[in-house]
Amino acid sequence: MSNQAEIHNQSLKVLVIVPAYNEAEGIAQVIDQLRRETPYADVLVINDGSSDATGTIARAAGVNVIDLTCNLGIGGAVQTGYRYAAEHHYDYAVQIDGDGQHSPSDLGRLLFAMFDTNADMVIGSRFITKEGFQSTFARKMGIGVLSTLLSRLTGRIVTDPTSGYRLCGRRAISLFAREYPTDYPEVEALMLLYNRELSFAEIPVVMHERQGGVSSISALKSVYYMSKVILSVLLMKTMKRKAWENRYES
Amino acid sequence: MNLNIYLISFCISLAFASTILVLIRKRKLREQYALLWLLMSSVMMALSLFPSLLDVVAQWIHIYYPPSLLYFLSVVAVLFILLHLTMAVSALTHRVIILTQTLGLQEQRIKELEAQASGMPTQTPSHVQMTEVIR
Repeated sequence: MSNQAEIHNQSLKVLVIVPAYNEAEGIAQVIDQLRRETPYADVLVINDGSSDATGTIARAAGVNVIDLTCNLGIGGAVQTGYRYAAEHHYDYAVQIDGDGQHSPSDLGRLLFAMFDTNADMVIGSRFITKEGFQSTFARKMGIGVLSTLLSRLTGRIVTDPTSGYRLCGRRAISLFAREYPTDYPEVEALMLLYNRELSFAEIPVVMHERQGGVSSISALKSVYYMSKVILSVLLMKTMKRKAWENRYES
Repeated sequence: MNLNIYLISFCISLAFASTILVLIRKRKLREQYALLWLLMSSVMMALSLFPSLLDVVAQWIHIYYPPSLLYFLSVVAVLFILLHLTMAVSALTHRVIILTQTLGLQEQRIKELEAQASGMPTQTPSHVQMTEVIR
């Protein structure tokens, strides 16, 4: 807690990255909520080549929007946000999904956890207190497999490796701006942190059911998802761990 | 007349090689990919000029039916080229991702600068005192 006094006196820049693909129905509500709950943070919507009015609606709501000309998938979209955060020297960047699954009111606790644990990344996990929307049975099974695997490989307990609600500090921002997995990135990103000797911690959050749009993971894709993630995580484990040097110019 | 098939296959490989050279000349094929194809066509030419090569090699590695060596070699070559293509596509995808991101970031920056120039209010970067978060 000793560092908390110092933090109190610093002014810190926080960026909220909202990746959105065809989320025209829910995006305005998410932005509105962010405005109310986290007035201290800048909001950046990454419009991932949506074919609907997502970008226009977000811009009309008065936040910064980056339009991607082609659909890059969640990983490519989120990485754009990290690159923006690195270029504009943000101290913290948090990724919040554009479909209303994550509640912005938890951001304060994520920030707190970051000061407390001094971790490079803090993940909001829905499986610590098991409150809120708990996902479907099949999906929970998959997540269970992945969390066991990740906990084994990294030697740290990971309860919710697929959670997209994560807050990054400067070191993690600079790493993710440089390298980030493209499709279904969450699990691999954890392995990436581990390989680059950055730390992460989990705190409980409450997640909601999505408000609109379709999950990026359909039933048919889940087989591909699981095999792809497991393969790449195992392959990443075979790579030599090398500490990430912070090339973040400030 | 039994040399005929070898003549035909030599002509085909020659045509193949020259097509590749023409394509490179017209800049429709990048040299890095063309080299692999040229290598393949020269092997084809060598085999059609000296068909006994195949028999000799087949005997070395105990293949009783030499033509099957030919099939084996061609499948390996095709697989190799396919792998090479997949690698090229992966590299391209990586570049497209980085370029799309950069384009998006630049566009956003232009819009911001335009808004500033025309005196419109922009979202100013807000700073947080940690006391604000603790409520």
